[in-house]
Amino acid sequence: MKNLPLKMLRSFIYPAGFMVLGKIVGMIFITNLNNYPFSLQNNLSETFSIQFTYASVEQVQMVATISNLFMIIFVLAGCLFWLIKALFFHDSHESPRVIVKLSELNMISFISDTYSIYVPLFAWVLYVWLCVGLIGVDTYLDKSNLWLLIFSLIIGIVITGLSFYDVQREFQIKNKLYVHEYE
Amino acid sequence: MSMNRLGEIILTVSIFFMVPILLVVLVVPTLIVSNLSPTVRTDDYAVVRKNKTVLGTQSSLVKDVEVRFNDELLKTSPAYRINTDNIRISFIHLAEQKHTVLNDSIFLKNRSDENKTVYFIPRFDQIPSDVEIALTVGNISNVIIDSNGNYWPQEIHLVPGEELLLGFRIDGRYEIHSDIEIDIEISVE
Repeated sequence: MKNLPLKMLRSFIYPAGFMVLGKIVGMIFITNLNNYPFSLQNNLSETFSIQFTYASVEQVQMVATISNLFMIIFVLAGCLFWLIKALFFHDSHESPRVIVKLSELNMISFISDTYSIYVPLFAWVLYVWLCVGLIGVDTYLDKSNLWLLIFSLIIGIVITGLSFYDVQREFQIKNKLYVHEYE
Repeated sequence: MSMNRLGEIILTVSIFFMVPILLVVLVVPTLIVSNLSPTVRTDDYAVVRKNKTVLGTQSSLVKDVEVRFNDELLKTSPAYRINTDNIRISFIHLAEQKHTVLNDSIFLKNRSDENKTVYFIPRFDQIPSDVEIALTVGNISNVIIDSNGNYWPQEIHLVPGEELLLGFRIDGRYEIHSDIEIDIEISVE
Protein backbone atom coordinates (compact mmCIF):
# COMPACT_ATOMS: atom_id res chain seq x y z
CA MET A 1 0.00 0.00 0.00
CA LYS A 2 2.86 2.38 0.76
CA ASN A 3 3.94 2.29 -2.89
CA LEU A 4 0.43 3.07 -4.12
CA PRO A 5 1.06 6.73 -5.18
CA LEU A 6 4.17 5.72 -7.10
CA LYS A 7 2.38 2.79 -8.68
CA MET A 8 -0.59 4.97 -9.59
CA LEU A 9 1.69 7.57 -11.15
CA ARG A 10 3.39 4.84 -13.19
CA SER A 11 0.06 3.35 -14.16
CA PHE A 12 -1.37 6.69 -15.24
CA ILE A 13 1.62 7.83 -17.29
CA TYR A 14 1.26 5.05 -19.88
CA PRO A 15 -2.39 5.70 -20.84
CA ALA A 16 -1.74 9.45 -20.81
CA GLY A 17 1.21 8.94 -23.16
CA PHE A 18 -0.80 6.60 -25.39
CA MET A 19 -3.63 9.13 -25.54
CA VAL A 20 -1.39 11.99 -26.63
CA LEU A 21 0.58 9.74 -28.99
CA GLY A 22 -2.62 8.46 -30.62
CA LYS A 23 -3.84 12.01 -31.19
CA ILE A 24 -0.52 13.09 -32.75
CA VAL A 25 -0.21 9.97 -34.93
CA GLY A 26 -3.82 10.40 -36.11
CA MET A 27 -3.26 14.04 -37.01
CA ILE A 28 -0.04 13.31 -38.90
CA PHE A 29 -1.63 10.33 -40.67
CA ILE A 30 -4.73 12.10 -41.98
CA THR A 31 -2.90 15.34 -42.78
CA ASN A 32 -0.30 13.51 -44.86
CA LEU A 33 -2.84 11.15 -46.43
CA ASN A 34 -4.98 14.00 -47.78
CA ASN A 35 -2.14 16.53 -48.15
CA TYR A 36 -3.96 19.08 -46.05
CA PRO A 37 -2.05 22.33 -45.72
CA PHE A 38 -1.87 23.31 -42.08
CA SER A 39 -0.27 26.02 -40.03
CA LEU A 40 0.41 26.90 -36.45
CA GLN A 41 -1.49 29.91 -35.26
CA ASN A 42 -0.74 31.88 -32.15
CA ASN A 43 -3.91 33.35 -30.71
CA LEU A 44 -3.47 34.88 -27.28
CA SER A 45 -7.20 35.47 -26.80
CA GLU A 46 -7.91 31.73 -26.74
CA THR A 47 -7.35 29.31 -23.87
CA PHE A 48 -4.75 27.49 -25.90
CA SER A 49 -2.55 30.06 -27.54
CA ILE A 50 -0.95 27.75 -30.11
CA GLN A 51 -3.42 26.12 -32.45
CA PHE A 52 -3.16 23.80 -35.41
CA THR A 53 -5.17 25.48 -38.11
CA TYR A 54 -6.57 24.12 -41.36
CA ALA A 55 -8.09 25.81 -44.36
CA SER A 56 -11.72 24.72 -44.05
CA VAL A 57 -14.30 23.35 -41.65
CA GLU A 58 -14.40 20.06 -43.58
CA GLN A 59 -10.66 19.56 -43.12
CA VAL A 60 -10.93 20.35 -39.42
CA GLN A 61 -13.76 17.83 -39.03
CA MET A 62 -11.81 15.15 -40.89
CA VAL A 63 -8.59 15.73 -38.92
CA ALA A 64 -10.39 15.92 -35.56
CA THR A 65 -12.45 12.79 -36.24
CA ILE A 66 -9.56 10.63 -37.42
CA SER A 67 -7.14 11.85 -34.74
CA ASN A 68 -9.79 11.18 -32.08
CA LEU A 69 -10.35 7.73 -33.56
CA PHE A 70 -6.63 6.98 -33.32
CA MET A 71 -6.58 8.34 -29.77
CA ILE A 72 -9.35 6.06 -28.53
CA ILE A 73 -7.93 3.04 -30.39
CA PHE A 74 -4.51 3.57 -28.78
CA VAL A 75 -6.04 3.82 -25.31
CA LEU A 76 -8.38 0.92 -26.01
CA ALA A 77 -5.41 -1.28 -27.00
CA GLY A 78 -3.73 -0.75 -23.63
CA CYS A 79 -7.00 -1.15 -21.80
CA LEU A 80 -7.71 -4.46 -23.53
CA PHE A 81 -4.28 -5.78 -22.50
CA TRP A 82 -5.10 -5.24 -18.81
CA LEU A 83 -8.67 -6.39 -19.20
CA ILE A 84 -7.53 -9.67 -20.73
CA LYS A 85 -5.04 -10.04 -17.88
CA ALA A 86 -7.83 -9.41 -15.38
CA LEU A 87 -10.25 -11.84 -16.99
CA PHE A 88 -7.95 -14.69 -17.95
CA PHE A 89 -4.57 -14.30 -16.20
CA HIS A 90 -5.70 -13.29 -12.73
CA ASP A 91 -4.16 -15.34 -9.91
CA SER A 92 -7.40 -15.52 -7.97
CA HIS A 93 -9.45 -17.19 -10.68
CA GLU A 94 -7.20 -18.52 -13.40
CA SER A 95 -8.11 -21.91 -14.81
CA PRO A 96 -5.75 -24.90 -14.29
CA ARG A 97 -5.61 -25.37 -18.05
CA VAL A 98 -4.24 -21.84 -18.51
CA ILE A 99 -1.64 -22.39 -15.76
CA VAL A 100 -0.42 -25.60 -17.40
CA LYS A 101 -0.25 -23.95 -20.80
CA LEU A 102 1.65 -20.95 -19.42
CA SER A 103 4.04 -23.25 -17.54
CA GLU A 104 4.81 -25.08 -20.77
CA LEU A 105 5.53 -21.76 -22.45
CA ASN A 106 7.58 -20.60 -19.46
CA MET A 107 5.25 -17.62 -19.07
CA ILE A 108 3.87 -18.30 -15.62
CA SER A 109 4.97 -14.83 -14.53
CA PHE A 110 2.30 -13.42 -16.84
CA ILE A 111 -0.28 -14.29 -14.18
CA SER A 112 -0.67 -11.31 -11.89
CA ASP A 113 -2.31 -10.60 -8.57
CA THR A 114 -5.32 -8.36 -8.00
CA TYR A 115 -3.31 -5.38 -6.81
CA SER A 116 -1.00 -5.46 -9.86
CA ILE A 117 -3.93 -5.67 -12.26
CA TYR A 118 -6.63 -3.39 -10.87
CA VAL A 119 -4.56 -0.21 -10.45
CA PRO A 120 -3.47 -0.03 -14.14
CA LEU A 121 -6.86 -1.33 -15.29
CA PHE A 122 -8.57 1.46 -13.36
CA ALA A 123 -6.19 3.98 -14.96
CA TRP A 124 -6.79 2.72 -18.50
CA VAL A 125 -10.57 2.60 -18.05
CA LEU A 126 -10.44 6.15 -16.68
CA TYR A 127 -8.54 7.30 -19.75
CA VAL A 128 -11.02 5.59 -22.05
CA TRP A 129 -13.72 7.76 -20.45
CA LEU A 130 -11.48 10.79 -20.66
CA CYS A 131 -11.18 10.14 -24.41
CA VAL A 132 -14.98 9.78 -24.61
CA GLY A 133 -15.29 13.15 -22.84
CA LEU A 134 -12.84 14.85 -25.18
CA ILE A 135 -14.58 13.37 -28.22
CA GLY A 136 -17.89 14.56 -26.76
CA VAL A 137 -16.55 18.10 -26.47
CA ASP A 138 -15.26 17.99 -30.06
CA THR A 139 -18.65 16.65 -31.22
CA TYR A 140 -20.44 19.43 -29.35
CA LEU A 141 -18.16 21.97 -31.04
CA ASP A 142 -19.05 20.37 -34.38
CA LYS A 143 -15.46 19.32 -34.99
CA SER A 144 -15.82 15.58 -34.64
CA ASN A 145 -18.48 13.35 -36.21
CA LEU A 146 -21.32 11.94 -34.13
CA TRP A 147 -20.64 8.32 -35.11
CA LEU A 148 -17.27 8.46 -33.35
CA LEU A 149 -18.91 9.64 -30.13
CA ILE A 150 -21.44 6.79 -30.32
CA PHE A 151 -18.64 4.30 -31.12
CA SER A 152 -16.49 5.52 -28.21
CA LEU A 153 -19.47 5.52 -25.83
CA ILE A 154 -20.19 1.88 -26.71
CA ILE A 155 -16.50 1.04 -26.15
CA GLY A 156 -16.51 2.83 -22.79
CA ILE A 157 -19.65 1.05 -21.61
CA VAL A 158 -18.42 -2.40 -22.71
CA ILE A 159 -14.95 -1.94 -21.17
CA THR A 160 -16.39 -0.63 -17.90
CA GLY A 161 -18.95 -3.43 -17.80
CA LEU A 162 -16.31 -6.13 -18.28
CA SER A 163 -14.10 -4.52 -15.61
CA PHE A 164 -16.98 -4.44 -13.14
CA TYR A 165 -17.76 -8.05 -13.99
CA ASP A 166 -14.20 -9.05 -13.04
CA VAL A 167 -14.25 -6.98 -9.84
CA GLN A 168 -17.56 -8.55 -8.87
CA ARG A 169 -16.15 -12.01 -9.51
CA GLU A 170 -13.13 -11.13 -7.40
CA PHE A 171 -15.37 -10.08 -4.52
CA GLN A 172 -17.30 -13.35 -4.74
CA ILE A 173 -14.06 -15.36 -4.58
CA LYS A 174 -12.76 -13.33 -1.62
CA ASN A 175 -16.09 -13.79 0.19
CA LYS A 176 -15.97 -17.52 -0.36
CA LEU A 177 -12.41 -17.68 0.97
CA TYR A 178 -13.36 -15.58 4.00
CA VAL A 179 -16.35 -17.79 4.82
CA HIS A 180 -14.21 -20.88 4.36
CA GLU A 181 -11.54 -19.53 6.74
CA TYR A 182 -14.15 -18.46 9.32
CA GLU A 183 -15.72 -21.92 9.33
CA MET B 1 3.58 2.57 17.58
CA SER B 2 1.39 -0.31 16.60
CA MET B 3 1.42 -1.70 13.10
CA ASN B 4 -2.23 -0.70 12.61
CA ARG B 5 -1.45 2.93 13.46
CA LEU B 6 1.56 2.87 11.11
CA GLY B 7 -0.65 1.45 8.36
CA GLU B 8 -3.21 4.21 8.89
CA ILE B 9 -0.52 6.91 8.59
CA ILE B 10 0.90 5.36 5.43
CA LEU B 11 -2.61 5.14 3.93
CA THR B 12 -3.39 8.78 4.81
CA VAL B 13 -0.12 10.01 3.32
CA SER B 14 -0.70 7.88 0.22
CA ILE B 15 -4.17 9.35 -0.31
CA PHE B 16 -2.80 12.84 0.34
CA PHE B 17 -0.28 12.39 -2.47
CA MET B 18 -2.67 10.55 -4.76
CA VAL B 19 -5.07 13.47 -5.27
CA PRO B 20 -2.53 15.90 -6.83
CA ILE B 21 -0.94 13.05 -8.75
CA LEU B 22 -4.33 12.12 -10.19
CA LEU B 23 -5.04 15.73 -11.05
CA VAL B 24 -1.71 16.19 -12.78
CA VAL B 25 -1.83 12.98 -14.77
CA LEU B 26 -5.41 13.65 -15.86
CA VAL B 27 -5.30 17.39 -16.47
CA VAL B 28 -1.96 17.62 -18.30
CA PRO B 29 -2.77 15.11 -21.10
CA THR B 30 -6.27 16.60 -21.38
CA LEU B 31 -4.76 20.03 -21.96
CA ILE B 32 -2.25 18.66 -24.46
CA VAL B 33 -4.95 16.80 -26.43
CA SER B 34 -7.26 19.84 -26.33
CA ASN B 35 -4.43 21.98 -27.63
CA LEU B 36 -3.93 19.53 -30.49
CA SER B 37 -7.56 19.88 -31.50
CA PRO B 38 -7.51 21.52 -34.95
CA THR B 39 -9.31 24.76 -35.79
CA VAL B 40 -10.16 26.64 -38.94
CA ARG B 41 -7.63 29.32 -39.82
CA THR B 42 -9.09 32.67 -38.90
CA ASP B 43 -6.53 35.22 -37.84
CA ASP B 44 -9.22 37.62 -36.85
CA TYR B 45 -12.87 37.77 -37.76
CA ALA B 46 -16.22 39.21 -36.99
CA VAL B 47 -19.28 37.03 -37.17
CA VAL B 48 -22.49 38.55 -38.42
CA ARG B 49 -25.64 36.75 -37.59
CA LYS B 50 -29.35 37.51 -37.87
CA ASN B 51 -30.41 41.06 -38.50
CA LYS B 52 -28.24 43.36 -36.48
CA THR B 53 -25.34 41.90 -34.68
CA VAL B 54 -22.19 43.71 -33.82
CA LEU B 55 -19.18 41.76 -32.85
CA GLY B 56 -15.92 43.61 -32.60
CA THR B 57 -12.65 41.94 -33.28
CA GLN B 58 -9.44 42.26 -31.43
CA SER B 59 -6.58 44.34 -32.66
CA SER B 60 -2.94 43.48 -33.31
CA LEU B 61 -1.22 42.72 -36.55
CA VAL B 62 -3.69 40.66 -38.47
CA LYS B 63 -3.75 39.53 -42.03
CA ASP B 64 -7.40 38.73 -42.51
CA VAL B 65 -10.66 40.04 -41.22
CA GLU B 66 -13.64 37.99 -42.13
CA VAL B 67 -17.27 39.00 -42.11
CA ARG B 68 -19.44 35.96 -42.25
CA PHE B 69 -22.97 35.90 -43.54
CA ASN B 70 -24.76 32.75 -42.66
CA ASP B 71 -28.30 33.79 -42.04
CA GLU B 72 -31.46 31.77 -42.04
CA LEU B 73 -32.91 34.47 -44.30
CA LEU B 74 -30.75 33.11 -47.09
CA LYS B 75 -32.85 29.99 -47.02
CA THR B 76 -36.24 31.64 -46.87
CA SER B 77 -36.33 35.12 -48.39
CA PRO B 78 -36.80 35.65 -52.14
CA ALA B 79 -34.84 38.90 -52.15
CA TYR B 80 -33.22 41.03 -49.56
CA ARG B 81 -30.62 43.64 -49.09
CA ILE B 82 -27.69 43.68 -46.75
CA ASN B 83 -26.84 47.21 -45.91
CA THR B 84 -23.39 47.63 -44.51
CA ASP B 85 -23.25 51.40 -44.37
CA ASN B 86 -22.02 51.18 -40.85
CA ILE B 87 -18.94 49.17 -41.64
CA ARG B 88 -16.01 51.08 -40.26
CA ILE B 89 -12.71 49.39 -40.53
CA SER B 90 -9.63 51.47 -39.93
CA PHE B 91 -6.33 50.60 -41.49
CA ILE B 92 -3.14 52.13 -40.20
CA HIS B 93 -0.16 52.03 -42.50
CA LEU B 94 2.66 50.87 -40.32
CA ALA B 95 5.42 52.88 -42.00
CA GLU B 96 3.53 56.09 -42.69
CA GLN B 97 1.16 55.91 -39.73
CA LYS B 98 -1.55 56.93 -42.16
CA HIS B 99 -5.08 56.24 -41.09
CA THR B 100 -7.63 55.00 -43.61
CA VAL B 101 -11.23 54.28 -42.85
CA LEU B 102 -13.07 51.89 -45.06
CA ASN B 103 -16.78 52.51 -45.57
CA ASP B 104 -18.43 50.06 -47.85
CA SER B 105 -21.76 48.80 -48.94
CA ILE B 106 -22.57 45.28 -49.90
CA PHE B 107 -25.61 44.50 -51.96
CA LEU B 108 -26.97 41.02 -51.89
CA LYS B 109 -29.96 40.15 -53.99
CA ASN B 110 -31.63 36.99 -55.06
CA ARG B 111 -32.44 37.10 -58.75
CA SER B 112 -33.03 33.44 -59.12
CA ASP B 113 -36.01 31.33 -59.94
CA GLU B 114 -36.87 28.20 -58.01
CA ASN B 115 -33.48 27.34 -56.63
CA LYS B 116 -33.12 30.75 -55.01
CA THR B 117 -29.57 31.35 -56.01
CA VAL B 118 -28.30 34.59 -54.59
CA TYR B 119 -26.09 36.99 -56.50
CA PHE B 120 -23.65 39.08 -54.64
CA ILE B 121 -22.64 42.48 -55.97
CA PRO B 122 -20.02 44.19 -53.88
CA ARG B 123 -19.39 47.91 -54.02
CA PHE B 124 -16.23 49.20 -52.49
CA ASP B 125 -14.40 52.42 -52.43
CA GLN B 126 -11.78 54.04 -50.23
CA ILE B 127 -9.78 50.89 -50.20
CA PRO B 128 -6.20 51.72 -49.30
CA SER B 129 -3.54 50.65 -51.71
CA ASP B 130 -1.87 47.36 -50.87
CA VAL B 131 -5.09 46.13 -49.32
CA GLU B 132 -6.73 43.28 -51.11
CA ILE B 133 -10.25 42.20 -50.38
CA ALA B 134 -11.05 38.58 -50.92
CA LEU B 135 -14.52 37.13 -50.99
CA THR B 136 -14.94 33.44 -50.59
CA VAL B 137 -18.16 31.55 -51.13
CA GLY B 138 -18.02 28.15 -49.54
CA ASN B 139 -14.83 26.54 -50.70
CA ILE B 140 -15.33 27.20 -54.39
CA SER B 141 -15.30 30.82 -55.46
CA ASN B 142 -12.64 33.30 -54.63
CA VAL B 143 -13.13 36.90 -55.67
CA ILE B 144 -10.40 39.47 -55.47
CA ILE B 145 -11.16 43.17 -55.32
CA ASP B 146 -8.21 45.42 -55.97
CA SER B 147 -7.47 48.88 -54.64
CA ASN B 148 -9.29 50.53 -57.57
CA GLY B 149 -12.53 48.86 -56.63
CA ASN B 150 -12.43 46.41 -59.50
CA TYR B 151 -13.64 42.99 -58.72
CA TRP B 152 -13.95 39.66 -60.36
CA PRO B 153 -16.36 38.10 -61.10
CA GLN B 154 -19.14 40.65 -60.88
CA GLU B 155 -21.67 38.22 -59.61
CA ILE B 156 -21.20 35.39 -57.20
CA HIS B 157 -23.63 32.55 -56.88
CA LEU B 158 -24.39 32.33 -53.24
CA VAL B 159 -26.46 29.24 -52.64
CA PRO B 160 -28.96 29.67 -49.82
CA GLY B 161 -27.39 28.69 -46.55
CA GLU B 162 -23.88 28.95 -47.93
CA GLU B 163 -21.33 30.97 -46.08
CA LEU B 164 -19.85 34.10 -47.50
CA LEU B 165 -16.49 35.22 -46.23
CA LEU B 166 -15.22 38.72 -46.68
CA GLY B 167 -11.52 38.95 -45.99
CA PHE B 168 -9.03 41.78 -45.99
CA ARG B 169 -5.54 40.73 -46.89
CA ILE B 170 -3.07 43.26 -45.71
CA ASP B 171 0.30 41.56 -46.15
CA GLY B 172 1.67 42.92 -42.91
CA ARG B 173 1.97 46.50 -44.10
CA TYR B 174 -1.19 47.61 -42.40
CA GLU B 175 -2.54 47.25 -38.94
CA ILE B 176 -6.24 47.01 -38.40
CA HIS B 177 -7.43 49.47 -35.84
CA SER B 178 -8.56 48.01 -32.59
CA ASP B 179 -12.16 49.21 -32.44
CA ILE B 180 -13.55 47.63 -35.56
CA GLU B 181 -17.29 47.95 -35.63
CA ILE B 182 -19.40 46.12 -38.11
CA ASP B 183 -23.08 46.81 -38.00
CA ILE B 184 -25.03 45.03 -40.66
CA GLU B 185 -28.75 45.27 -41.19
CA ILE B 186 -30.53 42.68 -43.24
CA SER B 187 -33.91 43.67 -44.58
CA VAL B 188 -36.23 41.85 -46.91
CA GLU B 189 -37.09 43.87 -49.99
